[in-house]
Order: sequence, then structure tokens, then C-alpha cells
Amino acid sequence: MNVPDPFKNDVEVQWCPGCPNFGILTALKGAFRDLRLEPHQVCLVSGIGQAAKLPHYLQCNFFNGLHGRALPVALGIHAANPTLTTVVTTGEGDCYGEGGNHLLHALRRNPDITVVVHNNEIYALTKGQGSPTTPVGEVRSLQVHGVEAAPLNMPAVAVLHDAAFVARGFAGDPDHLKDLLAEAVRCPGLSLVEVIQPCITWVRRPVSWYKERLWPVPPGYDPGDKDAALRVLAGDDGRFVTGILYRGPKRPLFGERFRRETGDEPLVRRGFPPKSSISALLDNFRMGE
Amino acid sequence: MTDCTIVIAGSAGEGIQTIGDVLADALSAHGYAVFTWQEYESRIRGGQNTYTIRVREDPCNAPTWEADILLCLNKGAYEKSSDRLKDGGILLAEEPYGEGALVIPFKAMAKEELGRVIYANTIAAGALAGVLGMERDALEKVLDREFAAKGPDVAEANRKAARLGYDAAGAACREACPWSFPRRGGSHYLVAGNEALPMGAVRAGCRFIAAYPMTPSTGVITFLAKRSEELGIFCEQAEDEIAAVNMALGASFAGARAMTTTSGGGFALMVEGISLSGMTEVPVVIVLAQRPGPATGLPTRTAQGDLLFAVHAGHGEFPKAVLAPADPKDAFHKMVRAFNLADRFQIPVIVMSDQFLADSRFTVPDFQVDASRPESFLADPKDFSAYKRYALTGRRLAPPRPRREPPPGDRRQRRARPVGAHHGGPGRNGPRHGGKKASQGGASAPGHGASRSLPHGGRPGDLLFLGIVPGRGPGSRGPAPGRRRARGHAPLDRTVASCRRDLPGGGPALGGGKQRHGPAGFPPSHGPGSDHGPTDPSQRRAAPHRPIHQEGLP
Repeated sequence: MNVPDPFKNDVEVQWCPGCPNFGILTALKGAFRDLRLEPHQVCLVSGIGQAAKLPHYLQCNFFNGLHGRALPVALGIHAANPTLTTVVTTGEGDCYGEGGNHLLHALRRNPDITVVVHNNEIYALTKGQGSPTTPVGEVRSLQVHGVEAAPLNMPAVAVLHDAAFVARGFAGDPDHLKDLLAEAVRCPGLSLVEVIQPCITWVRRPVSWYKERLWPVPPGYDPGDKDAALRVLAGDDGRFVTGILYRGPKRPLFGERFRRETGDEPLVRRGFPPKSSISALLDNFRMGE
Repeated sequence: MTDCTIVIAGSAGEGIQTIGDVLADALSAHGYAVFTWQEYESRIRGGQNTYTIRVREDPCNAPTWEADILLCLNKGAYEKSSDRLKDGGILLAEEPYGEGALVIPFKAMAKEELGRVIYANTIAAGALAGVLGMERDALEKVLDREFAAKGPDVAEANRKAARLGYDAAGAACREACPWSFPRRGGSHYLVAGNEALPMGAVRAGCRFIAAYPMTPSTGVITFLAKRSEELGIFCEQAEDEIAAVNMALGASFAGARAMTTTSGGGFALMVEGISLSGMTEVPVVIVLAQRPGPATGLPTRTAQGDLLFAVHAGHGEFPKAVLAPADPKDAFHKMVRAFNLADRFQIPVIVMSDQFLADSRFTVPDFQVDASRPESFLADPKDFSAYKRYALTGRRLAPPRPRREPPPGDRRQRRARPVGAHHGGPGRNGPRHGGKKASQGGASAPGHGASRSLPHGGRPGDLLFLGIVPGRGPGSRGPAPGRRRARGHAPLDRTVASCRRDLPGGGPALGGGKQRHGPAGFPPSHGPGSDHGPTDPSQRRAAPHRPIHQEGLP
């Protein structure tokens, strides 16, 4: 059986040949198919960087905006039309660096969107500077004596703030990643999926180096246990813990109260208000008899 | 002809806003044309603020500086504002601060007669009603409305407080107070810019607003947030202005009319988002409530210095519209126009405001709501099979966005592909920092470079200037021929016209400074912002230059 992939398009991919980003692209398309989504039901949002190019290579709605600003755009899209499956595809420079503030506040708001962070520990599109996750001591083009600032541990931050879903996958294992992404989209609330993505151009470590350091969560690991999640993430000592790391407690969703009060009709279908609504407003300011 | 100005002076937190609002509402409800303006500091308690009410029979929405009646709530207020009192004006105060003051011990009366000092403000409002020669029950309806939520006991106590103040004033000033404000017929609106702007947005069909609080713009989103569910408008306080404008763009991209509001520094943060709106041809409306000065500026003062900044906001070239409303009625209609323009041309539209327009309450005889209506410029999805949002059509406008039901998420749009713009990137054929667009999207579109990034076939430098011509605001009077043109864009323009009308013989030509911190015609050292030195740039002296070679240096 050979069903054409509805998410496939014919745009020329501009990643380096052999880039593990291709694995993430494959996994994301596979996740959408597994979820029986159609292209018109999906909206991808991205900022700037190699990861942010990903939406161009799928057939679906997408908005490729400013560096670091994918999350606020995604929030606006989600508020206006929550029937869409909104997924942010971003890199650690875009999401943890330039737009770090937006991620922190997205964690507070808990919108039902999925954030996929390609973490390659480097600024690849600007040719090899240190990123917010580059390990201390590694020499990069601007960190000529080695990185001095400590790397950010955003999955741990997400756990601390009770993100609905926190997972980490590996770009070199698209099948596993596909399942993580599908589960992230299924889970209501903010889902953060960090993907370990080796950069084959600027970091030049063999993929085997990463594979040796992958550390899947052990059998019996309980993603509902916040302390356990923080322990495995804090004890990250050079290893990459992978799998479903955390499932946060049920929290109110971004826009949930508004929809409960005003109905489920998405804003985009509500049309113009009747003149009577503006007359009623103006009456509040009418004086005299 | 009656033209009376009441100034209420006191510290933040003392209640001048309540007194002013109650009195202004009551005068307005009695059929008088009221104009109010406020001068305040960037603090929640303390300082010295004023609330000025001008009452006339016919609308003249412009402030006056000199007071016929001055109410001072504390000694500092008297020291700051006493020079505003006209010769023969009435000073009303808690204690005998100045010569000939009508002394009414509001706080002591409140405590003795009503058991709580909190009623002192209503006693003061009642006293002002007495000084003005209003009817004894003049404030009752307004007080009932104001305190309805707090229960009948509170409302009754306030009525009593107003009568106490009224009687005390009446006894004290029987001959000294020449005014009389009996009820007149008719009705009109008493409304501030920060109320009219959001009402215009409602009329325009705005469905989403995200903003970061920044004086003097905050009132717009506050107005909508209070009525969010009733109006079906999603309101979100963003973590910063960058998020605010990007959220609005996201909502707009998805198909909802969206806006944001801000002031100087916040607008500076939004500029990249404005550029993004231009690049992606996603409509957005931005209310820019200007404040004086660079950087943080003076949050509570008024200025119109950011017009050129707004006109030129954004790197790269793209069309935008900048509208400057003259008064609340105009603000209402210009907001509708802003949304219509943004949608029609798929551009960012900036609506200029300032503290004077935002906070002042104007008398508007009629809003003529029907004069503006939301217009949709979206295409019918039935008209296309493969929707090409960025197709190069050779026409001035890009293909219209699909009608609002289907944007992202509708099956009919299956092949549709709204696309973001791609920034520079490694395009081998394209310019590095030019925007690129392909008709159906895609990062690589060799041959479509920056030249296409001027959407709609606009030429570099094409801009829309609307409603910013001085002296041409609707209903305003242009300067007399041969006179120096009064300066100030629209909101100030009304004031300029009103002031000229009031001066003997039409008055000398006003203005001259292109950036005024106070309403035109005010003594520069006394206008709002006066504690920050002369505000008319023509009067400002540059700090002496430091000599390059100082003594003792080689």
C-alpha cells in the first residue's frame, strides 16, 4: 500500500546534506499522519535559525516570523483559532536565547500548543557561535577561549513550572521521536519536546558520540513524579536523558475560561458585531435626558 | 455665556479623581458641555495632581488654565495651584490656606456626621455643587450609580454627605458665588479618548488585543478587558511589547482582527513586529499613545513628538498608514478606518494618541455611529482552487486573504498555504537580507528577492498620511490666512482651534513648537509637565557645551 504523504511538498530543503534535521522533519510528518491530521488542520510557527526553516518543508499552514518570536505568534494563532493544531518548531538559540522570555511566560499560560526545540548546542545558521546550551569549555567561533557561561537546562525549568508534557528525543531516532511528538500534540497544554540534534557541520562529532551518551529513562520511570523528573534532568552529567520525562498536573489552559464564557466558536469565525453592541457601549457614556 | 473652570488639586490617593468624576458627570447630566483634563505624576500615592473641569453651555473641548473655583485638598496642593485662581475666584479648602478661602472641614464633618473620613470626598463634591449653584439633589443620581455596587447604605451615606457639603457651601458663599447651573435639557456623551478608541475597535470587529501596560495607552486594553466576555474580544497582557505585537500578528494571521497598544519605549520594541507585518502582509492596528522625551520619557505627561518615528517605524520599506484622531469622536471613527485600511491594504496601521486625548473627557453631541462600519476585504474561497497568497499578480494589491471563515483550518483551504516571509537565509540566488516570497511559500524562491518585498507594487517610500494635516481636522478651523500656522497634529489641533476662538479678536497665531508638552496656549512654565522645566522647545536652552580642553588638561 502506497499512500501519498499529504504533508509532503516539493520545496527545496536548505539544510546541509545529511543534517539530522531531516530526521526531525520525518518524525514530525509521521506524527501528524499517526494523529490522522490533515494539512489544513495544522499550523506550524517558527522564528529564525535552521530549525525555523522546517515549516517550509511541510505542506500545511505556517508562519515563519521573527527571531525568537514564534511563541507569541503561536499564542495569537491559538487564541484566534484553537481548532488548529499549533506547533512551534524552533532551535535552542531561537527559543532559549532570543525568545527565552516568551518560553517562560508560555509555561505560565499553558496554551495547548507543542514546542519542538532542535537543540544542537550551537548557532549553526550564523556559523558556529556558542548557544545557550553549549557546554562550558567548548571552543566556538566567538568563545575563542571556551564557553564560560553555564548552559541552560530548559526542560528542567519546564518541569519546575509544571509544563503539561516534557520530553526529549534524538534526531537520529525518528521512530522514537515520532511517538514522542504525537504524544506531545495529543497532550492538552504546553508540551515541550527537546530534540538532541547533532550539528554535522560546526560541531563535527560523529553521531555515534551522541548515541553513546543517550540515556533513555529506565523502565518503570514515572513521568508524573516531579522530583524524579528534576533528578534525572539535574543529573544530566554529559548524558542526554531521553523519553517522556514529565507529565504535569492538570492546569487551566490558555483561553479556556474565555471560551467557556463566550462559546467554542473560534474568534476567526465570529464575524463583525451587530451595531446594537456598540450602541449599548456608548449608552454608558450618554449624559442628560 | 457661562464658561466656568473648576480645578481640584490634591495628592494621588486623596480622591481628586472621584470628586472630579462625580462633579463632571453631574454637570454633564444636567445638560452642560463639560471638558475635563488631568495632570498627574507617575506615582500611586502622594505628589500633587490636578483635575480640571471646564463647564459651558456649548461644547468647547479645550482646557483652560485659570480657575474660577479652586478646591485644595491639602496645603501642598494650595501652594502648587493657588496661582491658577483668577482674581475674584473662589478658593475652597479644608483649612484657611489662603486669604478669603471658603473653609469647609470636609474630613472633620465626615467623621462627626457620618462616622467615617472616607465620605470627605463626597462632601467636597457636594460643596462644589453648592458653590456652582446647582440644585441640592444634583449629585444624587451620579452617586447612586457610582456606589450602587456597594449597597444601599453606602449610597445613602454618600447622598447625605453630598447634601452636607452642599449646605455648608451654600451657607458660606451666598453672595460670593455668582454661578448658577440649573438643569438644562438635551443629552450628549462625555467620553475620553481611552474610551472612544476601544469602542471604535469594537465597532471595527476587533477580536483580539494583546498589550503590555504602559501609560497613557493602558486605558484602551483595560476598557476591553473589563468587557472581554460580553464583547467576545480576547484580551491578553503580554510579557513585553515584542510579544504583544507578535501575538496580535498571530491572531490576525489566523483570521481575527487584532490590535495592540503602547507608548514610546514600548513602540520602539514593537518596531521589528511592524516590519514583520509589512513583510508578511498581515494587517495589524497599533495605538501609539505618545509621551514626551526619549527612553522612558515622562509617562504621565503629554506630547506629540513621535509622529515621524511612527511614520518611519520599521526597517526595510513597506507601506503603512498613520492616523491621528482629533478628539474622541474622531478616534472612534479613525479606529474603524484603521482596521478597514489594515485589512484592505494588508498593512500595519498606527493610530496616534497622547495623554491629552487619552485621559481628557470631551463632550460629544452625537457619535454618528453609522458613519463608520467594518468592511471586509477578504476573498471568497469559492473563487479559487489553489490559493496563492503571495502570487505576483501585477496588480497593486496582493491577492486578498480568504474570507474570514476559512483561514488556516478550513478544509476548503486545503491547498491554500498562507506563508510567512523568509528572512535572508542561505539563498544562493537571493539577496542575503532581502525578504523572499514565493506565491505558495517556500524558503527558496530564486529570483524573488527584495524587490518583491515591497508588497502591492508600492514604490519605495510610498506612505499613507491620513488625518495629520494641522488645521484640517473635521470641524476645526484652519489658521487664518497669512498667519503663522499653529502646530500640533490632530488632537492638539482641536485645542488650537478652540483656543484661538476664545481669544480676543481670534487671538494671535499660536504654536511654533513642533513638540509641545502641554496643551497649546498654556504658559510653558505652567503647563502639564511644568515640574520638568520649560517645555516649549523654542524656550529650552541647550546645556552649555563642556569645553573640549579643560583647564589642567593638556
